[in-house]
Amino acid sequence: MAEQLDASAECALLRDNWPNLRHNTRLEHLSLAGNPHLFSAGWLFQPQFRLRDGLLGLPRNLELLDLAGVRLDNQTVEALPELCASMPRLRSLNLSRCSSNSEAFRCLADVLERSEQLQSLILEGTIGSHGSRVAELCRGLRANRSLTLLDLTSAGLNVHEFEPIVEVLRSRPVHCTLRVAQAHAELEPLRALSDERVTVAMP
Amino acid sequence: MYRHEGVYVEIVTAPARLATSTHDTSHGASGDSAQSSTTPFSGEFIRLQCGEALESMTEFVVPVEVARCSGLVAQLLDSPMAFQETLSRRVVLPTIEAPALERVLEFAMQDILYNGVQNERRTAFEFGVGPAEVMEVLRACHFLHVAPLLDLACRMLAEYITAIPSFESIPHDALYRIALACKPRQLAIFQASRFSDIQEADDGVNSDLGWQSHQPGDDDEEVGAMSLMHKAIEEGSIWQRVCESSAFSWTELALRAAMPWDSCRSVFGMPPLLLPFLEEIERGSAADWRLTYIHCDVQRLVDRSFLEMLDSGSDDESLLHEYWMAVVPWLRHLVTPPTLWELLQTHEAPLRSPQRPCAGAHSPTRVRDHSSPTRASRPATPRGSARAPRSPAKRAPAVNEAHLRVARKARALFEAAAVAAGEPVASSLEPVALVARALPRLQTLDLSHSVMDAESPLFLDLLAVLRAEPRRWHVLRLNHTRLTNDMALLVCEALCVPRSPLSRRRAAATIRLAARVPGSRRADTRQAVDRRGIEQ
Repeated sequence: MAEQLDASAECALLRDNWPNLRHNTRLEHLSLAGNPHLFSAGWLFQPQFRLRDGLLGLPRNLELLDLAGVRLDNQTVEALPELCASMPRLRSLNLSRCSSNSEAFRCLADVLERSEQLQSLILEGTIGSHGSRVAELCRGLRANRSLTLLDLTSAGLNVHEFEPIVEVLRSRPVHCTLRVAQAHAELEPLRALSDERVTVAMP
Repeated sequence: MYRHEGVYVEIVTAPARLATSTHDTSHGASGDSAQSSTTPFSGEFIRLQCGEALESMTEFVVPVEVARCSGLVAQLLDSPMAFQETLSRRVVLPTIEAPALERVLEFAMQDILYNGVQNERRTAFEFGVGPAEVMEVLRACHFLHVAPLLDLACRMLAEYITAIPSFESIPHDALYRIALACKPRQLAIFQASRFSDIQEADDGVNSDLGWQSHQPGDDDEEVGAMSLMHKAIEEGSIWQRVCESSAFSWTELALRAAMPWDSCRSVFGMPPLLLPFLEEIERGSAADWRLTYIHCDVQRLVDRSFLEMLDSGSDDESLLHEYWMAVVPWLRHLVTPPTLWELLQTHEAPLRSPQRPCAGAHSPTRVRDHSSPTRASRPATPRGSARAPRSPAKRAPAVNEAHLRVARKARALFEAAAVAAGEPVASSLEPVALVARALPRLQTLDLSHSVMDAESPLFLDLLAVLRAEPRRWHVLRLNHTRLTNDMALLVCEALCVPRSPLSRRRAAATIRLAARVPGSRRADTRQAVDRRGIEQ
């Protein structure tokens, strides 16, 4: 039994010391936007590459993860909360133009709920006119206390779908900049949104 | 102008100052269908009603193309939301006074007659705005979103900034434009005249002088930002004088980005060029923010005029060499354009015209051709196609020679920097390795828009550099490179490092500690083993 325990401990030590992307503490920005063939098989999120189990993970000091235009499949989406939780310094997450579904927004809400450092979330052209996605986004925003920039440029939302987001942002204790498309920024509900808590900005 | 149901109705026609020989101006009032081929108007009109009280209410009947110069009106007209304005073709603008709207419409009319409806190449024309009306015009065109006129009004206000009585009614983004258009020296003088010391700055914070976002309780923060801004402008002026003695001076742009009119929250919330310097100044080291400035300066140089200067054949070329050799040892971040990677990949074999690689499939045999990356990135010819190879005579020799000449010079520039840094340089050195050696402090690797596949020399070169120094790179950008899962896996493997010795020692100590903690499973086992040994 003692030998077994020692062997497992040595294995754990060996596994922890094995070259791993997670040990690369220098890498802070990883930008892989505009590669539509990437992640289609859930590359980074497959079980054998999971952070706790396998060889690879994302660097723990990563501050910016840019996945704009990358296709997110279900496996990737489900792993998103765990992935973001494993990067405690992540400040900016770019999911612009990612082909996503309602499940993705449920996971994104989990990310927002758990994250304490995420300051910038870019969802340009991602949401589409889906009430359930907006509801999930609002759920995440309501619990989040760190986000200061929400980019919904070309998100495909109409005025009524913006209203719950507006209300949630107003209720938060932190100042947040909501970046919207120019066409939406002219509309009255959004014009009235700008106050000491929220700034509506145009790109 | 005539009165219709108690409302003044004004029909806007083309301005008389425009020569009628080039544009048909008879379309305005009557909207007749007899339009020449040069007119940009369709004959459709909409009504713009301004003023709140019935006495001051004025209605303008304008061609729809003129009204569309306003972003607000265009959005209301084109909206799928079926607004009242969309259906009735009448837009009510109660907050705008008739004279201001008239000036805006006059500008829009001239603009559309000179420049057409959708013409990117704009023709400049004279449009006078008096000092008495410029504020009203600014507010009107800001509300209506007439960008060219807003820009004009901001420039005019920047020219006469010392004569502006109050900034209270100017919108925030217009203030920012005014600050951008203002000359740095004038800006500094004006700010010094308004806020000669911190006490006055404190008074200024509590006044209505542009600090619209000021909140109670932020006094210390605001005053701190003011003093910081003073220091930044002072430092910037000194640095500008230093730079003015050389051929490379973009400090004016950096200074122009300062926003002394807005609150510090907005200043620090937006990214003008001076902001990195402010952070450095706050730390108390002037040398650091100048280093940051060098980064911005070199980045602008690489983005805009690097290639032109590289092959200018004038004094600029030698100055570029001198400047490059002086600054590259300090460069930590540089976003390299794909054209630079193409140039550095170019060896002695002549190329076709330098063009961006198109997004097509790659032929392995062509990809391995190191001397011709541009050709390699062309779509592969299907097998069996009877396409004859192009003869050298059919290529454009002037373009080839020019591209090759620039490529040689770019490579020489980087090789000289590498030699100066004490790095060995071989003629066959691949571009990423060459850049890594030439810029020894570089921490950003950017190969965005350089189309690669798993066997392309650029990708293999990238992997070799990452494997050689995985801990060196802080920023890795591989946007729009047609990266596949396998390639990304290889990149991540190249960046993998073992745990640092310190962390390893900590982990080992943790395991040893766990063995000693009573009650832990491992400690109990160890004690049991010890007892067994004693018993034996």
